[in-house]
Amino acid sequence: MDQNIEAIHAKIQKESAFIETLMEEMGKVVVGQTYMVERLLIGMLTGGHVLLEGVPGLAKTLTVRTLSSAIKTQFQRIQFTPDLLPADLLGTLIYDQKTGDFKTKKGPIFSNLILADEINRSPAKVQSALLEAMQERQVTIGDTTFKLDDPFLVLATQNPIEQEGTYPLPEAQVDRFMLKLSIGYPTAEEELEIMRRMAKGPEPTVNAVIDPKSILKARAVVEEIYMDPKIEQYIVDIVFATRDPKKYGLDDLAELISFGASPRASINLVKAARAHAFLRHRGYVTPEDVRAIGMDVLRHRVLVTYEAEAEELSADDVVRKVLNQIEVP
Amino acid sequence: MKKSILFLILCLSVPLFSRQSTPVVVTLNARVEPATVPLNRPLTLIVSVEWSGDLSAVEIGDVETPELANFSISGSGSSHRIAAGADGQISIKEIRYTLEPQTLGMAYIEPVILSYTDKTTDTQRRLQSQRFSVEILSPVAEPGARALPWPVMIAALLLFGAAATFYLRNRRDNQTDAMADDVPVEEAFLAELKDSVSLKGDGREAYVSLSRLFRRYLADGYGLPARETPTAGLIALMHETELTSNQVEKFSQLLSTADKVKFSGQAPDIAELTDVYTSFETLLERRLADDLAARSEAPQRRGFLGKHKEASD
Repeated sequence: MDQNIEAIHAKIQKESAFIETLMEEMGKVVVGQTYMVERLLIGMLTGGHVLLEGVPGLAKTLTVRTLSSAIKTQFQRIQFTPDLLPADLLGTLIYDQKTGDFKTKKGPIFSNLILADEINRSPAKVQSALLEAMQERQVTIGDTTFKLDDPFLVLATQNPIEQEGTYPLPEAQVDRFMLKLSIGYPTAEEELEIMRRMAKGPEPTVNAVIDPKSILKARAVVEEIYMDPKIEQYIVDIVFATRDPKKYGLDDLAELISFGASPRASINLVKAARAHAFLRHRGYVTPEDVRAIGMDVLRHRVLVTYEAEAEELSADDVVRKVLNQIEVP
Repeated sequence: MKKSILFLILCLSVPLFSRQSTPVVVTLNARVEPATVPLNRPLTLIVSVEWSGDLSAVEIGDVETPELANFSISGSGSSHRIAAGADGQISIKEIRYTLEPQTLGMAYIEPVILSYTDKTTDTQRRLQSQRFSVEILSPVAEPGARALPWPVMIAALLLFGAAATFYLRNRRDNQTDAMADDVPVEEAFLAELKDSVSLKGDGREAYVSLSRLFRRYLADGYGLPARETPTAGLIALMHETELTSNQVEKFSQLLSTADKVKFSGQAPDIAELTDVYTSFETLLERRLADDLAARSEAPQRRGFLGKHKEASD
């Protein structure tokens, strides 16, 4: 191994040692959901926001709250409703009669981990306020700009059922989320364990494994993980296959994709693949890492046509075909 | 005087009491039914003679047999009848000819010539009908009739069965011959292994070439999606093939080490490289031997349809 890469590899193995402990600690409260926990960690390690889609009762809030306790960060849950206003989210100026001045009252967004529950139930004004904060990592109240704390991670949820009275996120806004996770039901064994653990007694306590500073340090280390040019080309091939399927031997997908993934997909694939390699204690990225997070990065960035909907093919099906077709380096 | 007047009256009234000799108007009509006829159906030529008055007013004479082209007369008949017309009784004589078509194409019926005697005027006249052109069409299926007689159908089926059997046996023999001409995939990969993978040098290039060749072999030899599947997934798929657990372990090591070499620049262990090279070579040689043995058995399977393999098998 190249001396530099060897050094990086050794560094990664040292810096990622907390991962197992963190997973174990979270496992005390959250049964199963390893996929969700890993992806939240990827979001945390890359600063990428995560969109969670799943029916109610799948421990989405519990997982985020537990993660927040395990990494000793502040957690804020915001229930998005149709009557929510941007000021409810960001904060506002309040007149103090005693002093005759306006005081800034910061909103719940000033936290480390934000769970924006049912983001599609609030109108576009509120969604835009949140997404702007996510992008800029700062909030302006009055004429003062406030930087948001670091690490800052927004985990937004969407309820796939109950679509009445909702405001679906526009595609341009959805693209700002690094990952979109599709959360499924637990297995039968996990369900039994959930019943035994949660149906009686208090909720187990989670000990803090690391602190926000360690997370920021880990982020810097993740960016050092080596990515070979062959892997970079592999990522480009995957993203380009969603834009021009015929060129990659995916003729049957040409009529099913209306818009392929944007350059944001390529950037996020690189970041997420590095974070995945970090979770696997590797100082270099392999095609496995790209394939492991490919679906989560691409599913909300590939738009399918009406023909695909008529054939009951979702974006997941299309992305799966692309990933299964592109030759690994 | 009286006698003279009576005589004059008598002379003047003679014409009143004498018979009126107005000729009878006789008309001749002819028609064919139908206008076109299939080859296996008859055509009817109807010649109709009409006149006003009593039947006995006209005596129909000889009716000349019409000249025919592409028809033959199979029967004829005539009838008389009376109908009521606007000016009184109408007498009708009908003569019918049944004609049989001979060949496909056009057929012709020359005018029918008929002579009659007008009894009122005691005169003879002749009448002539028009000429007819009739198209003879292809024969139609006879209702309830079989297309072919039974013996012919059975003979046709037997002949078809024999031809099909001969064709299928011939095709199987040709396929066996073609198999013998094909180069086994293992042979091609063995040649490429010797040509493209060199164990000299630091082994990096050898590892990369070896893993690429092995992936291609898994795709071509085992039908696995080896080109598109990352290493972890491919190792899981190898477990589902006929490879032994020892072989799977060896080749998993090949693929994993190749990944490290390709993506982290790690220098491989030459002893390990030689070991996996030999394992791959052995696998190819063994499968080639099995394939050749299977091909040499194939010609012995030729013979009559339904015969079993030789007892020595």
